[in-house]
Amino acid sequence: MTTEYATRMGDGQRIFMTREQILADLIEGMADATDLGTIPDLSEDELDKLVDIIATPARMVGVEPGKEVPVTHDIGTIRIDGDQGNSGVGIPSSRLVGVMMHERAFGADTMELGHIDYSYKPVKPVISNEQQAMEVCQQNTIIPLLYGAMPNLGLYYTPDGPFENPGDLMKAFKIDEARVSIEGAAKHATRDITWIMRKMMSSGADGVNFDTVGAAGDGDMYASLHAIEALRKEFPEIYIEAGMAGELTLGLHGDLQYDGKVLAGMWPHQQAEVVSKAGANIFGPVVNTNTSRSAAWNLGRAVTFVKAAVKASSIPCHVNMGMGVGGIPMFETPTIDAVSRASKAMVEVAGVDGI
Amino acid sequence: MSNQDYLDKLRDTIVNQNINGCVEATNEALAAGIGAVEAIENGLSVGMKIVGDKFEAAEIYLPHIMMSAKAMSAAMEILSPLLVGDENAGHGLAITYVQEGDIHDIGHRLVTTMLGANGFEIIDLGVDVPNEKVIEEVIKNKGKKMILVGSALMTTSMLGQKDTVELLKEEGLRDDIKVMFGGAPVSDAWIAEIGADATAENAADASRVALEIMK
Repeated sequence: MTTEYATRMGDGQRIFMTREQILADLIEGMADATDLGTIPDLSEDELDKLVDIIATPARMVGVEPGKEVPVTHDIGTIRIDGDQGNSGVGIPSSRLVGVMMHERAFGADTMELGHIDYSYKPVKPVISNEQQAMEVCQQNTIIPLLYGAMPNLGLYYTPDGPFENPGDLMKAFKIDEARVSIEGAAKHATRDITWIMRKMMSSGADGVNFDTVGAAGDGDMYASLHAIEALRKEFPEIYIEAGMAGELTLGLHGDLQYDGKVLAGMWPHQQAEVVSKAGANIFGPVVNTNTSRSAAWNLGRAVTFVKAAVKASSIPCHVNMGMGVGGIPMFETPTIDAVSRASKAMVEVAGVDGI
Repeated sequence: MSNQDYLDKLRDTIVNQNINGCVEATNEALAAGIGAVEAIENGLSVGMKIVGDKFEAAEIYLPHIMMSAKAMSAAMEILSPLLVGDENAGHGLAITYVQEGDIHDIGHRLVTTMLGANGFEIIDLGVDVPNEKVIEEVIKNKGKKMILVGSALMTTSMLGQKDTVELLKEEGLRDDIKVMFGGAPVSDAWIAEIGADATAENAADASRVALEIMK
């Protein structure tokens, strides 16, 4: 009887596959990535390594000694006292306690202070509160502490912001007006992020994390890149991390460019180049999980995309690993077998510099 | 200029999202003696096919495809009056709507535009449409070559699509009309389960599928 190994579907469901089935799915996932991104295949050795990682009988796995990488956390400050809807565990504490627990108990290498709304725009009216929180956290910790949030261009459109919603405009075939609206929102977002970070830097922040760049399409990415550029110019020593929202930059505007390159339709290896050019220190590639395919299919695809991004990037790549990204199943609390296998694969096969 | 040159010009104005140029090229083609049907089938539709393929390949994006559709619609405003009475013209009547309980209409509008741009006569019932109203419209147009194109973004509203097919059967209308459903939760398995005819991945694919099943 052929041995079957316990693995997962992209939605977390437990399934069993033979080595041959795992390899077949890895190859199919890889082929999807190479086709979409026009990037190279993984080698046979790399595919064999991925099969070994998935088929390891242990419940959880880890990287080989000497291959450890830094681990950066984003909204971890509220992971302790946040509720399940915020990926938290609901233990009454504070953001300061969250930072300290991650530094002293969980082994985080850098941390981030983030507001519960987790977008830059709503930080403006509570900036003094955030500055005070940053100062208190800095006084109690040693690890690099960034300030982070989502650029979230969506908050600049009606009914939440001053610019007419491009979705509504496009429905009415007002394409030029929709584009003008996106461009205006991007300018405001760049201005807001720069202003907020100027304040946070004056309160001792070590840097900034742009979390989910491109979540509202190419305008979102355009705003983020210009904010990165402005911050690098104003604070030459600032540590800037830019993590993407998804594997493909969606073209809601379609014609926005940075450094002469059209942002719409960029895959991770292309995103890495413009993020680096703008002045970031760390690029966070994202590859989305397909819930209807196996973990092997998703991992083959994700590792192929991320390996190409690592190769193209002139700055370190810290891959986004969590629910629904990086070959990890889309599940509120992803299982440790899937998370540890995907993470090991990213380090040992894709060659990421951090997670 | 040869007839093919005029048709190529029509195609290119669609591909290049040249709305004013498309109107101009349409008038030029008509003045050169090219018929409305030929202009649509061998010029404009060829352009829309290229646009659809580029959209699916992520080479162009939502604003681009909408500009092309707008160019096509501008041309159709000139050509449609010329199609009246032409038995070879058009692909039939498309009744489009969003299922009851659902007001998400971006996909619905795009599909409606693409179908219109591809030569379908359109009756757009809008959003949050009860099944009874859909059936009433089908009965009103009985005898015409028809396709029903329903959209639902949510799994809750998607369930109403099953009732649509059931009601068509109860009224004895199912064999008179093709039924196509779309929306994020709609899958091939769902289409097979409820006895509809087809679904599509996106607006460009929807027009291709609709043309295919209406042959």
